[in-house]
Amino acid sequence: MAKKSSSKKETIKEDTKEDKEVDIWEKLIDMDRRKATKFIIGGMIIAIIFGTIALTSISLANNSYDWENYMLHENDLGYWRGDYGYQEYLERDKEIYARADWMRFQPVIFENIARIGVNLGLIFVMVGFIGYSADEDMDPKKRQLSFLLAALIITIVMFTALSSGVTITIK
Amino acid sequence: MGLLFLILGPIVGEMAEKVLIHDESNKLVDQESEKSFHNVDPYEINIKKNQKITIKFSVYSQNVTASLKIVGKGLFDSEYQKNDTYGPQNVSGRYFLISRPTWSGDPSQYGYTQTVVSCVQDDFYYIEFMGDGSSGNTIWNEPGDYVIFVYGSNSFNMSTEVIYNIEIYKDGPSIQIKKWFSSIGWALIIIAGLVIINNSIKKIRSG
Repeated sequence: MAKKSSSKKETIKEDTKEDKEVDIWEKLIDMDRRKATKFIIGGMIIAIIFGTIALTSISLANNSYDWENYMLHENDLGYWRGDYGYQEYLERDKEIYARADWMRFQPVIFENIARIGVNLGLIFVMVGFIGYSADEDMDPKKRQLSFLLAALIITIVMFTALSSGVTITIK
Repeated sequence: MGLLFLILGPIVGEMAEKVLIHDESNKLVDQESEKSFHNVDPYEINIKKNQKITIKFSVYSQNVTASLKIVGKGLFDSEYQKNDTYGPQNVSGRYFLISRPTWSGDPSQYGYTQTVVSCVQDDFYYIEFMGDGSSGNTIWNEPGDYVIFVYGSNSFNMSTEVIYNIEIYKDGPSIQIKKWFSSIGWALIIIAGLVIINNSIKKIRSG
């Protein structure tokens, strides 16, 4: 008896899980215009945030040589002023080189994370446009345009995900 | 909160860069100290992995010559027991680095190693010690217990006092503090990101 009741519970659990999964897809397809707009705005915000992270990361890497030169001069000045001794000067020198190398390397990590984030944001935007195109109350031309935009966005996502990789050269 | 930790890390770390362990101003040592290990001024120090000791050593009094050497604790204890005449002068010290910052030249030309410094009136020495070194301008880290000792002489017939100033600093836990603050900062940012993603998913599900 106990076995039977446990197997029943399991089937009920599986059913509810499937129901939930179906619910999400149903919700996505049956989304109203308001929710679609929310998706588009949310997706754009996510894409902009991650895009900004990527740009900042690239900018840091591009300016690393100037930063390195500036910090090396500052280190010379610190020694000449007598703020620290020659050994400390050498330690700081080595740390500056290592940190500059990290600045040139970090886009490999952050740009890839940002790329995933931007693509995720664009997928949200795409779902929003699909929501517009599925809205039967909308003007047919606008629905067609929304569908085309959704297709365009997924093409961009696929292109950026599959084409170029991020490579960094440390000199 | 995470960003705050990331910003505060370097600031707090910089504050804990050096820790003062001995600070003696106008310290007296008898000139017998140049003849006997029993009369020298010893300062015991311990050096850990990648740790550095910084010493500021100076003399302002006239007729005074104060000398500073650094030896391992084992050697110091055995020399103290033997107490040979002129032992402090004859024992070989370990190499330490002296800095003489000069605006007219590259820093690499003005850092050099010595095993003893003799300070006369108005002399000042900035010394760094990590355990041992070699002649030139190289010192390296050898963790262990060491003794910095000061001995001297006074050329004025009526006086036997040798007056000197010494400040001894050791590297503080700045690297560990920076690492901890940075780790906590990043962990908080990642947790906040995960919570935001979780909340957004919940909102989408609830419609």
